[in-house]
Amino acid sequence: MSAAGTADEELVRTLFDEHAGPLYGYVLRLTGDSGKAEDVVQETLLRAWRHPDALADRPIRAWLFTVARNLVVDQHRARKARPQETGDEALTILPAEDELERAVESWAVAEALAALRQEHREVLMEVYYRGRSVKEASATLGIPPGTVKSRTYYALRALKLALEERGLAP
Amino acid sequence: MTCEEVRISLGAHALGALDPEEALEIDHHLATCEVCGTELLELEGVASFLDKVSERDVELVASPPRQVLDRLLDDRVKRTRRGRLLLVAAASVVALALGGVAWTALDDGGPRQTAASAPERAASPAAPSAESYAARSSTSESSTGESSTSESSTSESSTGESSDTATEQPGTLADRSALPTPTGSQAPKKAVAGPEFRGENEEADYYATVMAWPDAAGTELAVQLHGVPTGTTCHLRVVGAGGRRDVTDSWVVGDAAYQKQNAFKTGTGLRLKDIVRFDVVNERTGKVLVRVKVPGK
Repeated sequence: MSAAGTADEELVRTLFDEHAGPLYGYVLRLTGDSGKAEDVVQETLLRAWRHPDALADRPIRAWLFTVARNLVVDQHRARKARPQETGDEALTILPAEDELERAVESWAVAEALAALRQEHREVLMEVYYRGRSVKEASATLGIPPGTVKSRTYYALRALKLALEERGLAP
Repeated sequence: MTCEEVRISLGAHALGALDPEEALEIDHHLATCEVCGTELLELEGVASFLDKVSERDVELVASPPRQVLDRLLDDRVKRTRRGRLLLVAAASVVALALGGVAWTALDDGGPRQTAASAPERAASPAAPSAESYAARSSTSESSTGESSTSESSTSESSTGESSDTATEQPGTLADRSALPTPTGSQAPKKAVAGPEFRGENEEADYYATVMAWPDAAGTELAVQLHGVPTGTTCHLRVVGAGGRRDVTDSWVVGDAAYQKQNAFKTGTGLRLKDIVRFDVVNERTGKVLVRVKVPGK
């Protein structure tokens, strides 16, 4: 394989590693269908790869979300144009343009959480998302209550950094 | 309570996870300690981001579907290769005799000798997106020269080999497996027998055999499938060491042209010794039908 080919492959991998997660989450929430979401993510990243110049002057994440959103809208319109299918599924609720920014932000938050060390993410899941007290989390995770407290503290500190890295300052 | 003791509990406090007595103790301390109070505000600021997402969101972000990456990489390889094929087509206009003959021979005989594959290969240079690929390719003139040269030399060598094989071996996969070590008066240039690799998808009851032997351009391949439904369009993804990959042309399982032949012949630019596995991929869904590993890699 040529050097250019390898560099190209690197670009595809980088695009995927850096953006596929949040993009997939976003699109899956729009379509509610994992197969369709995969197709849209693939097409979106493909366009990013083919048009590196389009990405030069703007935040790439917002660009990707916009492209993906438009692809979902197009699919949606195409389905609506075929009346025999309208009864088949609930109409997808599409976000307004101004919601895009919020979506970019919340998926960056999910990404920041996913980037935490396992033990930090785990303790936040227990204490925040599952609403457990320090004592309950201590039992579930099998660690002393003092450790639950210190991990929660350090997890929030680490999350602050991860958010700041993504331009989200608490 | 000292500031140090309080501080370590502030995370849990910000999330409301302390038991009431301890929370009260902390609040007492906070009433008089500005430093700890500031810290709590900061942690509450971080915690306020948590309600923007759900636990499931975090899972989704952490595990994007890997098959999308596979499909993207396959797609990239295909586009690059179609670009190269186009250049060969262009070159054959200039060097009409040489190029034209090579193409004909490639289509009618040799590794890709079945009727089903020929129209596809012939069609690809004329595909609707041809201009854009051509435009892409022409931007890098130096690589243009290189690829067309190497590609046409490939064609030549295949031509030489395939005319031997085409006349001698219209037969089955078993026949072809004997090809590299010919018997009798036929003495093709190939003298190295290729290994055979098998894989299965137990769940679906699909089986694949890939035969491989080195040639000047890389590796020549023959794929035989069992159990995969008729009409499935497949291609072979060839994965090399270090994650390098190539994608072959596609073929249709059980296409009439294959009934007799029963194996799809193709090739890859990767060298046999670098290949770690083959994936038979459903062209439409991008799903791997059968994975064929090269032992010892």
